[in-house]
Amino acid sequence: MTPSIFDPGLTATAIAETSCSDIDADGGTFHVRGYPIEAIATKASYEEATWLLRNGRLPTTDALESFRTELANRRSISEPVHSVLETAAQENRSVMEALRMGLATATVNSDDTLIATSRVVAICPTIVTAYWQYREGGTPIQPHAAFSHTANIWYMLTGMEPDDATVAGLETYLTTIIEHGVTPSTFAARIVGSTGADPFSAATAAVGALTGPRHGGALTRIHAMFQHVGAVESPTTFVERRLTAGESIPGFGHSVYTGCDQRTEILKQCAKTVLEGHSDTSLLEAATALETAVHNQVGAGAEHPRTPNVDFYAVVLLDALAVSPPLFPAMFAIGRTAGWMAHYLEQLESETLLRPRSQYDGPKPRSWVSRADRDAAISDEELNPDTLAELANAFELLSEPSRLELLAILDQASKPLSYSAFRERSSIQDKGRFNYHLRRLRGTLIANVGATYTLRAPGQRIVERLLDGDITSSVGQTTDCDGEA
Amino acid sequence: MVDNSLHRGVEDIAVTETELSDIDGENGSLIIRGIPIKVLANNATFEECCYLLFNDRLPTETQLATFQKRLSEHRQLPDRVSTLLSRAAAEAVHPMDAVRMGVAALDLDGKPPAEQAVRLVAVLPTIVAAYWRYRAGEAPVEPRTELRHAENYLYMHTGTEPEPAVVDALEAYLIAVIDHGLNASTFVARSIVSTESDLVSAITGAVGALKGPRHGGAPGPVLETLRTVATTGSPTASVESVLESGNRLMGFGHRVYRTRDPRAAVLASVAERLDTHTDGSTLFETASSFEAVAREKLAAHHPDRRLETNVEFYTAVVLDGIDIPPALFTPTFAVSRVVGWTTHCLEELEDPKLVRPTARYTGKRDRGWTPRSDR
Repeated sequence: MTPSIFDPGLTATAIAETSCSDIDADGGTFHVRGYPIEAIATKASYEEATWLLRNGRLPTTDALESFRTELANRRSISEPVHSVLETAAQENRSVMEALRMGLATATVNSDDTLIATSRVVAICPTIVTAYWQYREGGTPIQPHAAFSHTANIWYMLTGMEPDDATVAGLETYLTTIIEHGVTPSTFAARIVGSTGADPFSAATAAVGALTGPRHGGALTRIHAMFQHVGAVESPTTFVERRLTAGESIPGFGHSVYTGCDQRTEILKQCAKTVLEGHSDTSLLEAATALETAVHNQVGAGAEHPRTPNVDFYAVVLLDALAVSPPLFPAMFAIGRTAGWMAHYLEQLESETLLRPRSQYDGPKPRSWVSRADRDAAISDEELNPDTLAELANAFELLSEPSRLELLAILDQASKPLSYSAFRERSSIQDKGRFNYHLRRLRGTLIANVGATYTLRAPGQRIVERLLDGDITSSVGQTTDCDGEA
Repeated sequence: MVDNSLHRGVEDIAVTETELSDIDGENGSLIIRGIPIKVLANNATFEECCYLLFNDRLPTETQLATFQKRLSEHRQLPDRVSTLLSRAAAEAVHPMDAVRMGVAALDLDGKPPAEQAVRLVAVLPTIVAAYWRYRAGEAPVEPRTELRHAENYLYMHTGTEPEPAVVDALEAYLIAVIDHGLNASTFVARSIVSTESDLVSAITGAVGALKGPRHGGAPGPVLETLRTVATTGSPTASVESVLESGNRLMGFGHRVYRTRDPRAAVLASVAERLDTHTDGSTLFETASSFEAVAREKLAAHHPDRRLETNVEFYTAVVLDGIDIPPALFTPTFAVSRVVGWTTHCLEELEDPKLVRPTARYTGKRDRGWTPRSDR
């Protein structure tokens, strides 16, 4: 089948039918299995929300209790996983790398896919906290089967029995972000599931997608910004400076929601509740001041988003819960695991391989040149005096705007140009000068075949590297509009 | 929100531009960086082909020598990966799980992506071979830098230097399957780096996808069929019984090709050469008569569908012919495809375009929350 549609990033495509969740991008609301996220965030335990995602309905008390026991019994990790995590900690790997290594190494003593998905959900907290204990120079705290999923995370992280308020705050974080449609990490899990592979492979792929700086980096940048505006610069000045410079503000913008994201408000309220009675509320203050400053300074309809995304108050909440900033992305992963597994199962059950197409824009058919005859004008590997001299010659040839222009003209022309057409397109008025520059380039970078001119392969490469902006354009700015959360 | 159109399997959607491979499913051609797959398989070495993918040009003698040396120097396993593989072997995990573990535990963070790519290509054969040696209760054979890539892979399995004819056959196989557009494993790798993640994460994801039976799982079953047919001597009966049962005939039909897979043609001649070399002791003759019967019967049975020989059919014959055990068919595929995976990642990283599709919600709407006691 010839691809009929070109949709880079698949942003205009629905890749499946899902009954996991429904995002209203314009209205800013979000439903999981038909229930508003607010109800899940404030009323459900993590086990309950996970059961709902898997089964499509709310569990009875008995069903919930047995699921809770099932998860609790699957928390421990084997000796090889511990060993991998200990090494990762010693080598100062990031928590996401440790999670990838741990998950990839973990196994389950069962061929039952559902059991394996439960195991993935159950062990992620154990992997993350074991790594963290190794990194802090301690020994991992064994999971405690009597604690709920969330309470046990806290217990393994600190060695202390958590108070109710802490568990409630952490649980709201985990359930608020438990699922969010086909994000890049969830999509990775679905692609792996589409081949019929196991849940560990799917979860490992999802973690890999989350490892990118676009996600974990966003949480870190938001945290740094909060500290910065609290100490160095006022929120108003900071926002004004960034906007004037055309830079984005960390924590604003989402690849799906056009306006507000309901989850932001849930986490904001939750952070406020957790911080009641705390003496240090500076992060919350910085966050609210920034939110106001952005709202006031960005006009309605302006390009920069006006409302913060879910990461923005997630940082305030996690900080209020005394989670260390390096662990932020891992806490997100721990929460999202249930969503990954629900989507993985949905894709697996659909028995539909995700196999898109690509559009070839590489070199046209070229013939085989024997090794001895290959042109090595510019080698990237042997920097010996000869090749460096050749390279210097090439640069000498290019150190002239008119010649760059001639290369660009040929690059832009869709077909070989005749001498007159070529000259007409050039800004060089003087025929002698035009001929001189053309002569310098002919044979090396420009080919003269019959009566027409085209770029030779080295010329083509140079144009692509130099004139397409790789080198000359300034470094593009990154935004936090990562679309993951 | 725009209601995105639904494309299950996204098979009719091009999600990226690529300069790596050009697949023409209607006419049955596969071009890698401008060069037809057959030309590459007949002329190039694995390293040469790898260089072509990485650098978009064929190397000169010196460039190739430098590249070969570089690749050969990155073959060693870190101690922790060896330890991990020996423990995995004690638990007899699936070889692809072992590959996933081994790749996931590599430590390349902070290195430039192009270096990560070289390391991944160089080390994957060592992971596969070391794991399999552990599984057999033997110590891994250390890689040797003076051996070329394909040669060294075989050497690490047996500890003896392989015959040139066998190396040639493996090399042609490794080239034939080196890249193939956006199959599921390559797609997941690209999707992972589209978040600007690292290549280790991406290749770990790709290995996971390749493990799935719907992606690259057919050569094993093909081999079983051919072995049975070699004993019974009746390909017709075998083909007919599969078709009558309504099952898929493994090794035939492809998501993209409507013709005989161009790689099947490449591998068929590799298999034939190997068969001549071994005085007819491979399954080539059986395969070739089976293929003729199968194509004829499939055409009659599914006149509306073009089900032609795919790459997996002759993969079974070639890999079996060079004594790769069926359990290592998919890992050996990964030894080749890691070149395509990593090059696709490098291409994606030049201009990362976050893959962020949607799914169409078909579940229940607006449900009220029922307290636990009332459920």
